[in-house]
Amino acid sequence: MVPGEISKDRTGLRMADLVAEAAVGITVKPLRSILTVVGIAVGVAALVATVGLAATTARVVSERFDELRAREVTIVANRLENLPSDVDERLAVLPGVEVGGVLGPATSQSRPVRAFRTGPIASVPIIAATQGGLAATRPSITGRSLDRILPGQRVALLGGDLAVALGVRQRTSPTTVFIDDVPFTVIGIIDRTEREAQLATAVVVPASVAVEMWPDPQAIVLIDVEAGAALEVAAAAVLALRPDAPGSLGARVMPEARNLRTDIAGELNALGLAVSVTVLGVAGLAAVATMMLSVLERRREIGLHRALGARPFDIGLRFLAEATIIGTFGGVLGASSGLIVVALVGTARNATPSIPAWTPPVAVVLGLAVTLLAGAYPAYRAARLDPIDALRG
Amino acid sequence: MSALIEVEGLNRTFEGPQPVRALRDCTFSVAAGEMVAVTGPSGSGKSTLLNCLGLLDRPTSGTYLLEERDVIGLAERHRAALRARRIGFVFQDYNLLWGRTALDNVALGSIYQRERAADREGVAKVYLDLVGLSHRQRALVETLSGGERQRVAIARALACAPSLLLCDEPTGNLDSETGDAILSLLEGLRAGGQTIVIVTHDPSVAARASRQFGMRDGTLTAEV
Repeated sequence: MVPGEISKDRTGLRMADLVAEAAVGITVKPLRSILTVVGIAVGVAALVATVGLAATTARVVSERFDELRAREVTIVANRLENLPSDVDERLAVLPGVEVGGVLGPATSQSRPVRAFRTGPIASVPIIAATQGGLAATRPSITGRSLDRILPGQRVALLGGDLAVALGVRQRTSPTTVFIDDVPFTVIGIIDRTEREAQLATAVVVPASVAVEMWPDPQAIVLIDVEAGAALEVAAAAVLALRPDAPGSLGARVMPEARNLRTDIAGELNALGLAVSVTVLGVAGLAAVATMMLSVLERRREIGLHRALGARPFDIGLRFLAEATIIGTFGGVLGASSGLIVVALVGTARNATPSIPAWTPPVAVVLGLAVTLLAGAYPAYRAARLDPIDALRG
Repeated sequence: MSALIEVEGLNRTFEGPQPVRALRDCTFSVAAGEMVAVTGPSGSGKSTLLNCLGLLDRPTSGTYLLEERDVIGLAERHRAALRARRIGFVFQDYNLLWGRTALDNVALGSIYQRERAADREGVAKVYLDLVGLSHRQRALVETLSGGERQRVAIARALACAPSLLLCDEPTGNLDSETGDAILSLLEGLRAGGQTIVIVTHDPSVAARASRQFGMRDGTLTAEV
């Protein structure tokens, strides 16, 4: 070099040397580096596992709901009087209908109900139903149902939980309960239903009685249909029930199972993501602490590199390179572990493991990003170290 | 002989509640191929002077020409480039990297020159041979004796082919016999044309230099 001239030759670290030096830096304290990798891996594994388990669970749940969901039609009218008295019969003749009839609140407000030997329960939902409507819930009943009931006959079925609360058990002789102090003969107890789970705490009375007793019974028709027939039945039912004014009725078909699956997966994913992001954040904070410790312990080494010609940029870059290696290892290890957890849990629960394809690569990138973010401050501090102070240690 | 270093009116003040003037109007020059010793008690400003000459610290005022180039106002990247290519450091406590071999440590000396690793290793072997340690190149530095460690440190400093070798108490941690061997090594380097500045508080070390400066309270005293 000519005296007085500043060297035009580039100085700084070659990429290969940067990676090699970063790798050496990591192995100086192998246990600490392993623990940092494990910390990131746990966070990434939690992310992959929660997303995978949420997707698997959503699939299982939605598959179990699929059958019922695809086989349900609800029709709503303004008033019960707007429906014909032979709803069950009109629905029964429609193609694709298994069974259907009225099933809706007999009154907009819950009523007090009591039995002979118990005090009143202040607020009990009263459900107006026909035999078809009750049957559409696929109930399991101890005693009789609403078939063969005479018009205006004051009989009632109690939900299983309500029956326990009222001290009413299955018995050979009829029992009476009082709704608004009007006696109703209990003809059966609804032990459980596949639809309308709220019946467990309700009293079911004939729709014909509800119309007489309360001014505002809601007109809801529940129809159990054959698989795949929901849309056709919905269109046919409104015509069958009100051929003169089909527009006065509203038919509701449950949304597609696919939508439900998406909804459930979305909810579970959001929950899982919140948990895993928290875990990843904690792992990131731990990584900040360990990398900061590493910077403090390697002050002399940093000082030496500055004396050898390193720019502050080179020092910072080197610590970021170490974070990159740790983050990559942690990310890959965590994503692999997460996938294994999803597979094992799915197999143990006899469910098909399901995980969105984007999850593993995104988790690896996220793990790397968190580690780089965690390494940024220590790298900055290392780069800003005064070389003379650093050489003193 | 042309001057490799020309320093005039160099000052370094550390700011604080009570500012400390570590260097006061230091003026001297070092010709290429000289071995100059700066002596003085602890706190006299020797190390500050060395750090300024090595571009690790910036003087508060004054002029510093290195190879006829004013280096005081250079940007940090240019100062780093000069450290990488023109200046070698030898420290009292060696500053070797533990867990690495002697060869790795010496090869580190030119790592910021962007030379390929294989080329750097080749150069490192030459300098390990020069300091008499070719047989120990694969030994981890923690297994070396104090004298061997300092030889490795000197080889590392030479690996970037510096025009200026700065030595801070190079024999401070060594017994007299080993220290003598290190000084002989430095003398040999000077004989080969290497410019060396040694900072020491040991008069017997300073006596081996071609010229000596005394230093007290940040001021260079008369040439000894």
